Amino acid sequence: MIKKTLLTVSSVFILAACSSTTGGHEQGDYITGSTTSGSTLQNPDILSHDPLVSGADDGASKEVLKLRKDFIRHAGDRAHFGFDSSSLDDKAQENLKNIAEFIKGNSDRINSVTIEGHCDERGTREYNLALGDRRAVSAKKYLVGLGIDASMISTISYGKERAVDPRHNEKAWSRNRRAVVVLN
Amino acid sequence: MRNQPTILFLNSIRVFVSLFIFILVVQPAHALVKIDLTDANSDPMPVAITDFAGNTPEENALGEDMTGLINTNLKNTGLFNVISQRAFLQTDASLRVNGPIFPEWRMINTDVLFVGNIEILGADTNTPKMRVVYRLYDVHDEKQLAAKAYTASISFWRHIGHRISDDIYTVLTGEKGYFASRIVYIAEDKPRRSRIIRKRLCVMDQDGGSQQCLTDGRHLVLTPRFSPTSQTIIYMSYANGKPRLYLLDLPTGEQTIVGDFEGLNSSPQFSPNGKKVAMTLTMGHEGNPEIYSMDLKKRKLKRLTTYRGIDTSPSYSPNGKRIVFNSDRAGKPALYNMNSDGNRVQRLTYGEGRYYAPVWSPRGDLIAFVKQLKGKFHIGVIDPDGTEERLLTEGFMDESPTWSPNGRIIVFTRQTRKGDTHVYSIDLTGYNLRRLPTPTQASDPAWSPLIK
Repeated sequence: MIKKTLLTVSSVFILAACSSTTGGHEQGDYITGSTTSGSTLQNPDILSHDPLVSGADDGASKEVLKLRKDFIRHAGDRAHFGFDSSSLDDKAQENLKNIAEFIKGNSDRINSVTIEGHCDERGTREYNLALGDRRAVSAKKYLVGLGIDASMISTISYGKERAVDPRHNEKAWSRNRRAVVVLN
Repeated sequence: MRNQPTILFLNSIRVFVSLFIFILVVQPAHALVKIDLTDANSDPMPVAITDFAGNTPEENALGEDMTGLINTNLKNTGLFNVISQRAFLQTDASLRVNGPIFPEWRMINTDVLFVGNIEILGADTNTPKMRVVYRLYDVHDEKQLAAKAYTASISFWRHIGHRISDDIYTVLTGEKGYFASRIVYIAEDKPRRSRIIRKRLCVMDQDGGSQQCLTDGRHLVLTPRFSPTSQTIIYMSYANGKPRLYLLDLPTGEQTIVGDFEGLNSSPQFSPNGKKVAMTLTMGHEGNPEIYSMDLKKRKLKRLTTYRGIDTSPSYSPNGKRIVFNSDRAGKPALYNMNSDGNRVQRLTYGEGRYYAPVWSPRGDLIAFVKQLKGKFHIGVIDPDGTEERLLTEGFMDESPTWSPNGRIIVFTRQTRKGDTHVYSIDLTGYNLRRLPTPTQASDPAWSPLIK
């Protein structure tokens, strides 16, 4: 069980290197236009190896690692959300359609699917844990609607605990508001 | 016990519990001088704290440590002007022989004088004890305000120092103190070459002393809370690969899972009698976080909310009859109030901005909360009927308020725009903002009740 967690968490970071930028439609009730302040980190996608989440090397078989690589290359692994929202816009739906297609086309290689829900840092810890749960379930329901077997999908919320972009600005927040699909 | 978060240092956790303290009240507190805690503009009261006098170097050294601890406690309140010992006119030697010579203390403009003696008993045994006696004087009226004797194991010297600080605070303000208390929090640090912030469950005395971490950081841990009636902590951990709640009994180190409920298990908060826990679960109704309460003895769950959106962050009123909580049912997060059985829901906040994380004061007179407004986060307070909103802080990210046992101070998490995260305290007056001393960055503080 513990091994599985490590896998799930680490895959977020490995896969993060392949994430695409999102549409800039997000508007919160905070001040916008602050994207240049806060950090000098230009490309947070280039991630260093993390000893805390290195479980991937021990846990995931070569086949699963290959599967995830293919998944990201062919389908992408995530959908993004607006501020304090768990509804799926056109872009997010399109991403999830690609994800569903991939899962259907590779069902013989996939044992289970974990969907992680994540939030930006502009909310309290407890509220964001709840919001992350709603995002993960929202993505799950959409995949089930496209014909993926609900019993193979589990969801987990990380709230604002696992930002993929560590910066503290609008651009980072829009990238961190996401559901990430992890294949096992 | 497999698949549970690993708890460290069980032996040392045991130490701070069973206190055997003998207290002798020499004279009941009787205050002539007094501080008004609700008046933020009143001048700090000048107090002179002399060192506890002993007869051996060991006794004097321990006495100085105790005095230092009491000084720091009183200074941190912002209510007292602790006069430098270098300004004292009457010497320790003279004090011993003659007792206080009040004109000499009035000369240095102090209102209050603290004098104490310390004695180590059984210094050559395995369990040496200390006996401290103190007296507090009003130097204008030349009257003794309070006097007390404590006898306890030397290992509890910090606790005794905090108890004496509470005595002084109570005599001079007329209110209960908060120094003999602990704060549980999440220590945050980033191991080298890591991108993930490591989070550990830690406890400390309210002044930052006796630091102790209870988990090793291998698993994500969040939102710990102290039981109001026992040395028990409830907290959230991903140790099992899923977000679950655990009860940790500090005296024994014994740990139990609250329940393995499907989905999110989060936002725990004890009832005032410590017998129930309110929490947020998604259960079978996935994507719909609801508030439940659980009777800890019977392990029986009761669902309290039924709204389709987010309901979370429950907090009991001190009489246990009401629960204040956070919900987005009106389109944005706001604060609501309900009976502890889920009936009679009332909306409390209608103001601009977004409200989160309500916490009922142990005095019952106020509810602290987090407010997000125009790109800033604030810690604020309202009356239990939702009126009289006051914002006490403003920051890039201020959250997770928790009350001092006497309801006069709020400790909270502050994250700066650079990402630095620390625990701060602020007085209810909106003054005396102070960062608490923690060895690493820190978040999610929760204050214990007074430790007797």
